Amino acid sequence: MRRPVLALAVLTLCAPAAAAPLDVTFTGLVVDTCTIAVATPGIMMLSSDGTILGSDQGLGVPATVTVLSIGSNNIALSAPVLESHPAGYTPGGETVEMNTTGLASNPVFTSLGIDFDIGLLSLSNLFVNMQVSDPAGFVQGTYTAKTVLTCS
Amino acid sequence: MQLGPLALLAALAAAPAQACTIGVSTPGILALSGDGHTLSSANSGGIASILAISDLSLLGSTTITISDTRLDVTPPGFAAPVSYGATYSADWLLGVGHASGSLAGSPSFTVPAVLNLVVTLTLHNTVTSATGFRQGNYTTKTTVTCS
Repeated sequence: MRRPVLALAVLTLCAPAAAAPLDVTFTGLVVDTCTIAVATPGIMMLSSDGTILGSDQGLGVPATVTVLSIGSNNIALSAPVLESHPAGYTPGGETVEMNTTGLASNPVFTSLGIDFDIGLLSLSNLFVNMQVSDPAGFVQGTYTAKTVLTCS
Repeated sequence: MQLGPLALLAALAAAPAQACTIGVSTPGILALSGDGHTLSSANSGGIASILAISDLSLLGSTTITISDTRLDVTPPGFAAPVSYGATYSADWLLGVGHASGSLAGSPSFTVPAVLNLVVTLTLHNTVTSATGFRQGNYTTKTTVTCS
């Protein structure tokens, strides 16, 4: 009479215990970051006919901008402007244009701003060409054209 | 003479069957890698989740299993294909007992029956995306089970 009771108790002890699952949670926050730097300033040279001052002319050098992006960002280049010129030059008849290659290809020169979206991006180069055109030509001296690049 | 052992067995059998109690002592924090491809508690700035597992079976060994690491919360629009990983390191009896492994490798380990046993489990989560992660909050979960 006692043996069945003992067997029942032992069987209960050997039965598998109930599982106790737990979901372990990890949290993280990703913040967009973008780093830009001018690796090489551009240099504009005069065309053979004397009406174009451009970084894509012979011996000219496009500006190189390095970009590093994490997350989703937007790069915007403002409309290019002639920032400085020699005292003897009369502005007003010139056209300032730019194009980009490398990271973003916009090969057609434009006087408007350029913007484009980027995602995750290891260190990459954006090349910016600038040109100032004036049918009246340019007087001797130093000219500076610029575009403002922002990454946000 | 036989009533004593019988009563003890009956009392033990009447105790609730419980595999273990799992408590989270340190919540895990994911951090983004420098190249932006990996969100992991093992990255710089990340924190592993530390669990205390107690009330293990006194009469037999307990198997602890790590499973089902997944993304639980992502920012709207995030749909990049990702891969998951989890690694763990477990100690008990002041380091006399030790186990470690990964979700892909050996996702479970067995703890022998020992009185007053507490297992400390250090758990890491990793999510990898070839296209990176957009801005926002992310949450991963991993299931820990005793049996």
